[in-house]
Amino acid sequence: MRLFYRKILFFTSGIFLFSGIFSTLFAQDKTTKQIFQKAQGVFENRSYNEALRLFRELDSIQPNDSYTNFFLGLCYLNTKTDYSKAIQSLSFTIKNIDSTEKEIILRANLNLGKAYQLTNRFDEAISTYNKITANKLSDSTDAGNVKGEIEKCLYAKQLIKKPVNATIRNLGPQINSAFTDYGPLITADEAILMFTSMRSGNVGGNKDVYGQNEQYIEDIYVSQKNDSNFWLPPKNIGPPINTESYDATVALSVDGEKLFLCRGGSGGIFVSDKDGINWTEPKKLNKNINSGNSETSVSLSSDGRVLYFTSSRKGGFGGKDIYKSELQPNGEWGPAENLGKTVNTSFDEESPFIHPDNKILYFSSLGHKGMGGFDVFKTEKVNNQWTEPENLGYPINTSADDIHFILSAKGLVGYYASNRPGGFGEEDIYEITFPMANIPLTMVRGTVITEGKKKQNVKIKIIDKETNEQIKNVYTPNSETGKYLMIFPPGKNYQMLVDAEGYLPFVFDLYIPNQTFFYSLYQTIYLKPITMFNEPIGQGVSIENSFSNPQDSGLSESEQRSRDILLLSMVQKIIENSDTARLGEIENIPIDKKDYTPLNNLIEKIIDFTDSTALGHLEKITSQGFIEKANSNIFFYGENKKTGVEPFSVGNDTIYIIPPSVSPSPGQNPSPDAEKIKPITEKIDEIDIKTVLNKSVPFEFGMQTFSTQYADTLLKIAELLKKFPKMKVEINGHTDNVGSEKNNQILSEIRAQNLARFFTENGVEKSKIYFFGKGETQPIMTNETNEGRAANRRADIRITETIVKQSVVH
Amino acid sequence: MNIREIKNIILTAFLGLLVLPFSLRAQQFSEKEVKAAFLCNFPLFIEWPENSFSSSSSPIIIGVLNDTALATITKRVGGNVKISGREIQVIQYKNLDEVKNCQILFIGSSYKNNLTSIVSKISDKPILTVGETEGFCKQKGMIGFSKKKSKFGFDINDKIARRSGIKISSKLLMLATIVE
Repeated sequence: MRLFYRKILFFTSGIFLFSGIFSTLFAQDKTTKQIFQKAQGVFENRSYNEALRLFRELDSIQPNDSYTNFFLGLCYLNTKTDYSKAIQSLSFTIKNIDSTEKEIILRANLNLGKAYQLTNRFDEAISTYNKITANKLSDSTDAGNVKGEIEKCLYAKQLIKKPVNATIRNLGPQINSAFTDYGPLITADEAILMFTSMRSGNVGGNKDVYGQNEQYIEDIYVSQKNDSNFWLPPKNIGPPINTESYDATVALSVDGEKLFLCRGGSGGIFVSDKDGINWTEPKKLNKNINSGNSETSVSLSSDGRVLYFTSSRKGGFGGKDIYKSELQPNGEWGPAENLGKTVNTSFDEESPFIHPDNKILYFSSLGHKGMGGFDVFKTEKVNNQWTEPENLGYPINTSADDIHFILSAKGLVGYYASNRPGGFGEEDIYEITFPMANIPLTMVRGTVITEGKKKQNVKIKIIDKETNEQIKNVYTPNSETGKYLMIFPPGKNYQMLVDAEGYLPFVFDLYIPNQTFFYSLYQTIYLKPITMFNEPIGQGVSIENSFSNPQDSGLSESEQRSRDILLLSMVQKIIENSDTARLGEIENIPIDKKDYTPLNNLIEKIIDFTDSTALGHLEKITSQGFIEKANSNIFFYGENKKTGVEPFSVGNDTIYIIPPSVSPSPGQNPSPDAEKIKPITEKIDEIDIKTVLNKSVPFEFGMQTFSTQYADTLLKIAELLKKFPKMKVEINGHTDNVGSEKNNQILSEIRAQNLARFFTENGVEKSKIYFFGKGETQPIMTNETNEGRAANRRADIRITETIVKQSVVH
Repeated sequence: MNIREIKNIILTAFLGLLVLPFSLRAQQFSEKEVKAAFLCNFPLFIEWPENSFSSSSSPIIIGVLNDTALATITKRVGGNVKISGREIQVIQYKNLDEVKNCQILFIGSSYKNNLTSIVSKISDKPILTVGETEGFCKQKGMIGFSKKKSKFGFDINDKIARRSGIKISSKLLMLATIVE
């Protein structure tokens, strides 16, 4: 919380000692004496706005008083209202006050120096500070401070000369209030902003009596981005996150499903999980994190395994230091480890932020070489060592406090809090736009859709295919929305294990391209129970992958330009040739952004001939890796069979999987000699899956069941399946294109199901049957004629057998 | 390990079928980009009456009513396009009163309930009206983008266009569904 690590920006400490003082000018006048005493009382309570009002009143009654001007200067500074007036008032005091008022002269000079510093008048600041040293005004503590401030002024001059290329923007009155607003947190998709504010509207409605300027006890607020990229008015996140005490944002997991917060009193760091649209009751982190000293901020790595946090515990380098803790196999945070003296200084380190790339750590510090107040630094992990922290430079850092820096996964937008001059009062939240970012991460955003169930309990585990280790803690899609978000480094192969309650776990490959720019992938996982006569008999799984829309793809301007030109010329050609076939496909035409020529040529060919052969050719090319949309519906029986399972090792666990039973290469000749398989003896060299039989069963228009005339043939197939234990059957239902796509999909599934049921009723084991609905997507003839449509209404039966080639070991 | 537990059985049976490898090479066009490309291409296939332009070099103005995203993309796509010596200029309108001398007016979907009245207000001007709401052409719009079975297409109401003095090329008409 703010109170714990608020740096005293102005040299107000010791001001309370002056409560007895008052100008002799007021001694004779009762009214002015009363106002002066009242104003001083208000000042001591750090209600600087009210104190400013009173001292100004006093100044109008009795102008040119050195004491009044001293307090006026401090009030102008602490309310951030007018820095030039602060400079004017303090200068007046220094010039006119009785030379015996040593303490006041010192404080006036210190604050005058600070006022110059904050308004980037560094030379004047330095000469003011030098005056303090030259006139031996200060004791040893302040002398140290003065020396530090001079160094900061010199460094600030240096940084301002070479500004970094970044644009800073106050988030405006939509987000910022007249009160302290800080601690911005953002989801990786940059759709939700959370922050802490001391505005009114907090839970309990109490004021922060310990803080300054009569603010409210801090609470967490949340704002969402609308379609036009504007932040909507923030709302108090409410209980159970916010309590009547201090509640402050400290970190959010990349998927936005875990919120870390800091609580006041005997609080510390708490964590809350998102359950649907609600947040669960925050739980306090264990003693490895919450040592009982001051722990105020954390950051969670994007793989969820490392927690970076600040603590003032013993054994550090002084002030607050940054520590890290790793997630233990039991799900608890392990012992804290100090990041070492490269990162930590004898002053405070605060608000660490580990970027989703898990390499660069950003943090604020009072100790490293900065411009004044907290500055933001970054350090990178190279060969397991943190590099020398680097100041992010001006205009990101200023002479004021710059703190709570976070950066979007793409690296293009950062957010942080600052109490720099300007803004809407106290600390405000600012946005930083970085011009060029090249962070080659892949962000996978997806949704699990479960038919017929509102709440879903799904876990997604990611397995590194190279090491075969479960690389992450488990991702839990939001139970209400089914949404999940994952971030991956480039060029790796993973397997994604989706484990949904009430469904068999399934696994699929996830290839993260070795790209050099930020990349988004959108996935939809559909889970669907299959019932026959109201009895659940199986499950359906389908996955759809699609890539980012172009606005998201991080294309350079010239790449975007060539893309636009391509699109324009394609549209022109389509219109010129009145090519209806291409018109329908235009959105899905894949292009190679590096070289459009082959595709252009092909499209030209298609336009020239306007024939389906060329279109088919295009489809063939695209299915080899151009097109990114995979959409298939898979159905299988969900019987719990132990026979025929194979071990599948993940890390230390061995799980049993059902081996592939569908041939990857259909169209092989039927093999009549199924009975010739030899028994397995010793060493298995190869497993081959052969197609034994292909058979198509026609369906009448709109019919779900097959005609009885095929029953004999189907019975024979059932006999075959029963006789040969290694044989399995795959049934694919199809329709013509009459009616809606959706209805045809359902019809095709029912057709396949009915055949499957026929087989089970005739004694075929359920585990040998796989059935799929293909809808109208796979016609074998044209849908333009009656004859063609009749041929397309069918179910394809394929009998496969697994042939194990083995060698006898002598 | 526990074989008995149903949870621990992973089915890989369909692996080969399920997931196609994806590569980074593909870039698809968004619906709005395609619409923008059509808006920028229409001038090639449309003939406006002579008095529609103030001079031989004045730009072709594409007005976009209440669709910021489309306006932005159209500006980008049409950025360097020149059609018979005329540049393409995209202007974003917030309401109908701002609509003045444009050649093409895209009417955002937020106007779907009072389309007829909007279209009739500018029917005396040679402005090609383009929309994306269902039945746009039935409500006297000239070109309506459509989606049938997830395929992109468009409708044209040639009669209304002719009444405003706008001639639409037969190539464009052949691509569209004609609505009267």
